[in-house]
Amino acid sequence: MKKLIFSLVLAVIGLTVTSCVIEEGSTPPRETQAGKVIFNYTEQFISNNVVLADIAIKINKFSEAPAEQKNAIEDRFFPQFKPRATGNTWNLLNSNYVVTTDGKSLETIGAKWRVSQYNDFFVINIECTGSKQWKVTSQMSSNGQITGSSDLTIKALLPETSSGAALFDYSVSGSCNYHAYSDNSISVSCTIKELMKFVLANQQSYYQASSRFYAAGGKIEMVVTNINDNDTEKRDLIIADLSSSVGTNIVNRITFKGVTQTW
Amino acid sequence: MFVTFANSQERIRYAGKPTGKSIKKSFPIEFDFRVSQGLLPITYDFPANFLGERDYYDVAPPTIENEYYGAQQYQGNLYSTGSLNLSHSVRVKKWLEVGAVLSYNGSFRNIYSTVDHSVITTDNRHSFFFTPTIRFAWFTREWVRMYSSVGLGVGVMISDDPQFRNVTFHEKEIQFGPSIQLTGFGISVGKSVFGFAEAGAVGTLGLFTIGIGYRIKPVSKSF
Repeated sequence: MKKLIFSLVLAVIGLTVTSCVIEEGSTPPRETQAGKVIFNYTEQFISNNVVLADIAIKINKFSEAPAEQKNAIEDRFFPQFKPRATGNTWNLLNSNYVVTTDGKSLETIGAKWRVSQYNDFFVINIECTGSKQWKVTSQMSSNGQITGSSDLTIKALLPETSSGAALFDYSVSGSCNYHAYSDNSISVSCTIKELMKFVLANQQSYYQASSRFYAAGGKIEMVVTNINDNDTEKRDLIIADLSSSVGTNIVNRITFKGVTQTW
Repeated sequence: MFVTFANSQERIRYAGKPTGKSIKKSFPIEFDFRVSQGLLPITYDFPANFLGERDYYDVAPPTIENEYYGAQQYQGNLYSTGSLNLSHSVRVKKWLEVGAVLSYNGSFRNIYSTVDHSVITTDNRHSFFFTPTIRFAWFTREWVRMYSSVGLGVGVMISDDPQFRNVTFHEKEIQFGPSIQLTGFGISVGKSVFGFAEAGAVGTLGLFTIGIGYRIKPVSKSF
């Protein structure tokens, strides 16, 4: 009987060590992939603000243009959605953008305009604070994926290309914070450390849903806070350094948890 | 069906022989111990294991939270022990054995950190089954037996339930359920020590099973 038990135990041990792989593991993401994810959302959120500010600035240009230049300006900057005014309210026809002015030119220091998108889901207030310089703020604005607030200063730069729908590129400073649209279990706080340059992308389809400004320079810090993490607050610091970018050749060095990689 | 077939097979063997005690002669009881390993057992995570497991972040909506935490970890290989079975049965008729099988099936997977590739949690599953079984021998010779079997019992699967958002928080998930085993074809070769293989099986023991066994015939006991 002892021999039998011994034999069975040996057999069980033999079988136990014969485990096999039934599914290959997944391919590891890059070490800073999570940092890139947050940068992409941050870039998108700032871009949402800049896009609306840019619309206001272009409508201001359109409204101040001599009558004989309006058609050319309209065709260049608003090829799809024509701006039409009713009192102090401008609508881009067949779009969801609405611009409300205070009756002053947006080039006048102190002028305050309001731009909304998606029936006030995303709203910015833009105030002229200097020559070709504006303060852009938003409160609890949402683009469907994230909801957040911003306090930015944008300054007009000559665009990379003088043709097409780009009137200006912008240098951007300031801060923003946002969280997931559906809940606030994760929040991101961003601070621009070096002036960021935002350049209009996809110029042929401006004001379509895919149009955006992309970051082409500067440096930004993002702090991710998990406020649902077992009642302990966990913070991750992410740094995106685009200062080595030249023109459209974007060099984005992202640092996440002490690891820096170029994207 | 198994009973009819196995029983008729026995009757055929005795056909032509005088009726009476020669057929109903006492049958020595026989104990049977087996260890085996089964390939492709059905456990309670069967749909995920066999139809292709999807990472939570593959099927969840692409929210910032899912993307952020999904990018900080990745899955290692999934290992499985197969079904490790220990069974005991008693042969109560020439064509009929009753018994039970204890089975274990383990699957193991590490979840790694993307940043430093260290193991941050595991996704392990342990399944235990107790399956009373009836085995019908429809071909019996001195060295070879062929049989089919059915079994029905209970089981439990204990699995890690890693909370992907916070990998330090780890809970066990326990599932109870039935254990079912249908073996279409089984063959054993040998006498007191024998090897066996089963195929066409569906259930917790595995689709294909191989193992070894030992038969004991106590002298004093008989049916």
